[in-house]
Amino acid sequence: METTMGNRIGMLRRRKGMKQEELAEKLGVSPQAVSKWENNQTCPDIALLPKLAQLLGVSVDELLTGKTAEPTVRMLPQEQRKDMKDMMLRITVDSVKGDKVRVNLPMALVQAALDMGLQMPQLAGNEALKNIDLNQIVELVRHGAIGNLVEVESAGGDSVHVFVE
Amino acid sequence: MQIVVRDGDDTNIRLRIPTGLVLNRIIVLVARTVLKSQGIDVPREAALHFLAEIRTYQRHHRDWVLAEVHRSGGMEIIVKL
Repeated sequence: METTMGNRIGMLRRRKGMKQEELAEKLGVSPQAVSKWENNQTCPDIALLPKLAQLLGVSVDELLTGKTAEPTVRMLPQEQRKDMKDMMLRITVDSVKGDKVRVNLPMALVQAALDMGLQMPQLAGNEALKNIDLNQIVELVRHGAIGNLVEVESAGGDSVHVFVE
Repeated sequence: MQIVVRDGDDTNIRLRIPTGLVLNRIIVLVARTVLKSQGIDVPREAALHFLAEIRTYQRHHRDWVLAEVHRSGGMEIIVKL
């Protein structure tokens, strides 16, 4: 069953062991206002959402949608894993100057490149890419890891993300 | 292979190069020579295997975008194999 934001506020408040009066006081609103939120008669003011979410121990997104944020890296069980040939390694480099580079490499090609003895620093001269070990990334993917496997921010301010899907 | 260069509204270049001209044994030879000059020795068999893998993937994924570059000044370069 899908819950409303009011239901979630009530549930999270009770989980925190707070009374409506306590929550209302911390937010600077009346207890009647909290009661109306929980009974789906009105919604909290948008400016109150960050503080309300903080008091209830969730993100604003979770409070609004009821969905918890997905972890950036997931380990897939054996039966859900895709063939390496159907997977893609996406490397994104965002430079401090505002330039963006996206490279999409099929995992099959990454594997073939590693077989040739190529490594990331030989493929790109970017300082932030220097210490990324492709062999370890391939090994992680073999063990079922997908998602944002690497995030690097160089001293110069460039940021690099390696994403596998 | 397609290379698209967009620079604002004025410049819009679209280069279409037959894939056979880009992915062939001569290019592999050139690439190996360039890599060798940088101290990276790639065995011939491994290089040909790499070429075969690229060709296979490219045949099965016609919409594969190899690289995209977005410059802060607005220029965009897209490379499709």
